[in-house]
Amino acid sequence: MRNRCVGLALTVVTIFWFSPAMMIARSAQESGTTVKVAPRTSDGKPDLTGLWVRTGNTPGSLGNADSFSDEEPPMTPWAAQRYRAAREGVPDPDDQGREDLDPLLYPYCMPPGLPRLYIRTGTSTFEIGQTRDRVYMVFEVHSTGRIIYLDGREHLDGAPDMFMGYSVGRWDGDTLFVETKGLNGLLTWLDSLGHPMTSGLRMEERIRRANHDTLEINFLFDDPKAYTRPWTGKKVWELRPDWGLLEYTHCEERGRREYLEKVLKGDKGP
Amino acid sequence: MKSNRLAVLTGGLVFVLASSLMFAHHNIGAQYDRNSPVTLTGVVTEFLLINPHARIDFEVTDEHGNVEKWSAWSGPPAGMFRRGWKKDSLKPGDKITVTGAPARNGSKQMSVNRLVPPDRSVPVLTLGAD
Repeated sequence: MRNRCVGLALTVVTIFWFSPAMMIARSAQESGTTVKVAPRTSDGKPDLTGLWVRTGNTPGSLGNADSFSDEEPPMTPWAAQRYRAAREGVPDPDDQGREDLDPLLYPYCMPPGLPRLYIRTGTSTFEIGQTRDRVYMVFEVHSTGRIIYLDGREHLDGAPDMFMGYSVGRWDGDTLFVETKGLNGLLTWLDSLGHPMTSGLRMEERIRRANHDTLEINFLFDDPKAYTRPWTGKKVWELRPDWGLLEYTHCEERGRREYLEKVLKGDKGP
Repeated sequence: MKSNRLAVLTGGLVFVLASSLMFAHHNIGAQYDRNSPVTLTGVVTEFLLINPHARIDFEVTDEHGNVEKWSAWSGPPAGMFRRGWKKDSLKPGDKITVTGAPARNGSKQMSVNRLVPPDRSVPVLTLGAD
């Protein structure tokens, strides 16, 4: 009996010692830094809530600020032609695509939608809220909301294309796996460099709170009409509990000028 | 004193880097000539902390009394606010000196590289391709 108790205690200690949380804590201790482990919800799932600001915006391991990957995705001839048009005359390969062809910008003013919402912003900032069967994301860009359903439902059949698509997800260990379909592929770019997408795009996200202050999302893009094989990307965000969401829109200045002139006749109010 | 200087220097560097990132997505080179920056001194007529980029309208008067109306474009307002700019950080009548990349189309517009606000509690605006 006593041996069994000792054995059980050793097993518990071993499991705890090699748990991800302890390994992060030990690693931080050994390197002399302080890394707080990610919190969990009352039902034991990783707690993703918080205001997150993207890091790694420079070209390098995490990709250009305007794209998901450092590597050129494998485009079909149709996509390559569309992409060349979006880049024509743009001198810097890290700059966004031609502004006169960008669906976000005046006079088109389309919502960025997914997946571009993750990268084309002034600050690439969003807040996450979470319940047992929903994850809510509110992006600073256009104050756009998104719901990821975790209740086991299926994708919609025959629904209209949507800029944010329809997202269902499930927990895979400590990673939230999300699949999004039903995206509007006609009036969007996939990224800000001008890579095209179609409404057949299926996006996978693997969202993980790597530690208390770090959120990672690994992306997979599967869009057979635009890309010859699925391709991947990764972005990282840091927690900013001291921030609140503000607002970012693309056409306010031009619209303001015209509205003020044509509708308000210059009247800015009392 | 030394630590204060270091803090200011570090803060400035962070601001420059962050500001560059704010503008990094923009195709500035196509609209503005980053290789031929100009420096102008004028008087603010309007400051708009609005999306997608803050705008500073100001008037420049030459030695003959001729007045030119200029607009200087800066970063997204959310980022500027978080770095210490407020919607009244510049007021009509404020005298400013702005260095920036002039518009390629010849219009009197520029993308701000550097602007020192009269209110020294407001961070120096350092953006663009300098």
